[in-house]
Amino acid sequence: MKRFAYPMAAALSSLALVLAVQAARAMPRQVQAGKNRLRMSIVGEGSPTVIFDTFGPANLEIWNRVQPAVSRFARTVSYDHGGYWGSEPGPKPRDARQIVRELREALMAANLQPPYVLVGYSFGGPYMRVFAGMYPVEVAGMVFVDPTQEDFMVWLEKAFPPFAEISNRHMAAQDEVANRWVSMDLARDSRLPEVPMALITGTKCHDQLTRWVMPRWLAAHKDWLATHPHARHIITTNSGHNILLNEPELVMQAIQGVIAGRNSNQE
Amino acid sequence: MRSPAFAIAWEIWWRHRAGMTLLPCGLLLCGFLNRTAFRQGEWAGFAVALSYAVLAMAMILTFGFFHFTEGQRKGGFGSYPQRLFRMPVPTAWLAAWPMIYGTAAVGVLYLACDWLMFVPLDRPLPKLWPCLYLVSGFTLYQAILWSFPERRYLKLFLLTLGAMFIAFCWMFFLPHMIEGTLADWGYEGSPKSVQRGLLVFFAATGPAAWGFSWLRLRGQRHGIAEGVRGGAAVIERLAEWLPARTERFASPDAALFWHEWRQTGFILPLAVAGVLAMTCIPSWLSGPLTGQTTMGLLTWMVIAPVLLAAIIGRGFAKPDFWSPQLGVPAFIARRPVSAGQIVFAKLKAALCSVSLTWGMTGITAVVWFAAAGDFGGIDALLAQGKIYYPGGQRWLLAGLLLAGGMMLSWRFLVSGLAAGLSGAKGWFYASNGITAAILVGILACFIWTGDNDDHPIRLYNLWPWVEWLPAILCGLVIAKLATAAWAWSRAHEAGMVGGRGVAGYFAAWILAAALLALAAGIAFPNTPWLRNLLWLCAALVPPLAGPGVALITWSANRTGGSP
Repeated sequence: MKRFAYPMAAALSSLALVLAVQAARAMPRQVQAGKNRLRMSIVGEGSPTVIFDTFGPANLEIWNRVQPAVSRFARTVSYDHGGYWGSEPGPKPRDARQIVRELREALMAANLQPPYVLVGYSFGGPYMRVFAGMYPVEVAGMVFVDPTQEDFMVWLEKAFPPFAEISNRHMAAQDEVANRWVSMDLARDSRLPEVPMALITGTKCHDQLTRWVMPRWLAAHKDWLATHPHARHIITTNSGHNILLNEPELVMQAIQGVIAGRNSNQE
Repeated sequence: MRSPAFAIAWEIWWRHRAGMTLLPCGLLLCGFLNRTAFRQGEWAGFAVALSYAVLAMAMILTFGFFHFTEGQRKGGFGSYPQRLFRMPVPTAWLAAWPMIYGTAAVGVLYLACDWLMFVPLDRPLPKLWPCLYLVSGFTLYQAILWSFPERRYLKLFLLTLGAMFIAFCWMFFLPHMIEGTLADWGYEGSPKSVQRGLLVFFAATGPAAWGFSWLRLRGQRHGIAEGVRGGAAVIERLAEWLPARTERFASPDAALFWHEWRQTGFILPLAVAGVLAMTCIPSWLSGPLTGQTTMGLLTWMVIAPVLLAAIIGRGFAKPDFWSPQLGVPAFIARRPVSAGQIVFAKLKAALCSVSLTWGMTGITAVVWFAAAGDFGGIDALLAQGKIYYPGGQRWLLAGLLLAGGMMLSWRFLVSGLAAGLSGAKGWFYASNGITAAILVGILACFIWTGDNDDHPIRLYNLWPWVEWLPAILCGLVIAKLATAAWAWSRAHEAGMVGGRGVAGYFAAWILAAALLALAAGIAFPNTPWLRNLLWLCAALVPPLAGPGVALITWSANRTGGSP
């Protein structure tokens, strides 16, 4: 029995050790970002560094289908916003400027030097625009994945007022939700650098509501792109807003295209 | 002894002197911490939650100290100590004194908890109605335990029914329950009049319980035969119709399993059935539920078997569930069977018990959901599932999670075998203490996180600790494997278990761990760190070292040696 039990225990223990080492290596780390620490996942090597961002309540794991693919050809960073998931709360008000400031401090603390390719999903779009407006020389390219547009939100507020209401809980916390209108104003006022850009719009409708808002959503993207003629518009009919989950390869290709465009510009 | 009252008090004290000394010390410690370290700051919220959990645990212990029963032929879950019937004391007083001591203890303990733990945190408890409730609940508890000797399942049924009734009435005194759950259930009346009626009813319960106990104890004392009447008669007649076992057992293993199954197999299913009845019947009668309430109740139905398995597992681990003794019963000790056969019979009985429980829970949940549930919540869950997992994967994951729930229940049911079968009281009670502390901690965290949005149990505060998880889990897995290899090898060498038995159990363990690992792999395919941690957890959930050590401790207990 000893000849069976002990080798088996040794083999399984070795397997456990390998799994634990892999888990420890892949685990996101908390990085100092001024007064608070942000949970960041840094994967891959190379330049430029691709930064993934979205709205605060979503965690960095939302990028799990995109980030590993992109990390094969670039260094990638995803993170949790201050006060959500694994990131400590930061100074208030939690508007786009504060979010961007914390992100940049964390990037510096993690020794991740520019240039950056900014990838913003949903409300991460406005945040990345504010980043590009605040630090234009550090940005090498931008990819917007079904981003939230301020014109669309203004229309939605009029068409469906309850959507614009901010609950007392969010107001009391002065969190990102409470500051979303401020953040969108900041995004509108941001001047973006002339860098390669791509915008992906998911047009697949899955219910009555999305069928109703889709023309406006698409129109808002087209209107914004009209002011940035060098940006590429990718429209997919295979995904709705969940492009990151349904078509991660499309996002990866868009990022690849932006990096290639940046490299050819440099040449 | 100077008087019967003093003799009864002395007996209660002597039997539970250790617990009765430790309990006030624990309360004083909690009170001291609440007055000093926890009084203010971010931990104050946790202190309140912990205080509620400690109060609940203290009440359970007090009910345990003062139930004043003694094992009859079938063990500890017995009835009033019949040897006291020989005392020259009227039956009315024999019933009265333990009730008076118990009710006094419960009331004083509640007020002491309030003064020691809640007042320093500026969260004083209501006094009158909870005291009345606890006191009447305690007298009912004693009356049920004393009045039906040798009828353990009837006692369990009545205790469940009583707990259901008390829990339901308790809701009328909680403003958030009146505005929330009771309003959801369609209650629109005046809570004040209901409260008054309930207070009168419960004030009358104590004397009624005493009167009933007196009559029943008098019958037992004077040997008046208990007539089988009413519902009990129907149950007994039905039982006569059930097929009785007449043929010989195919093997000693089959006989052992049958014995174990008959003795302990039905406890978990019955307890879960009670909880399901408490959950399903009121919510079904109360009319349409919201999607959120439906999901909440479904979640509770899934958690209940696991939680109850953790509690019942403490008793299941003993050689005899119903006995307060940890020694091997003579009936088992004399049988010419190996330790492996006995431990495997226990493991098998636990598996059957868990399968029956989960089968019953599944059927009840489906029927209840179809009859009373709202599909909104489950639709939202399915829609979320569709986003993350394609068709077949979704259902496979659901099936694996169900299997995981069953496995976890089984794990908790048999987790104390090594300590329970050892006969070593210190080890057994220490392991129970650890389980109780974990349950209290979970309960406190649950109350705390539900009560307060802004608390330190946030991922960002815990993350530095989470980063240690790979090392901790890896260490636990290696320790488990090393212990298992040592224990099973030693048990095999000593002839406690055959080579095929060991290989079979190892194969079953690998299969169970692989199923859990598959669930983790499907659930988190793109999050390697979380997936790997869950794979390590998958190796920890199915028991491997515990049953091996149980073989050794059981043998030592049986032969009178030290484990």
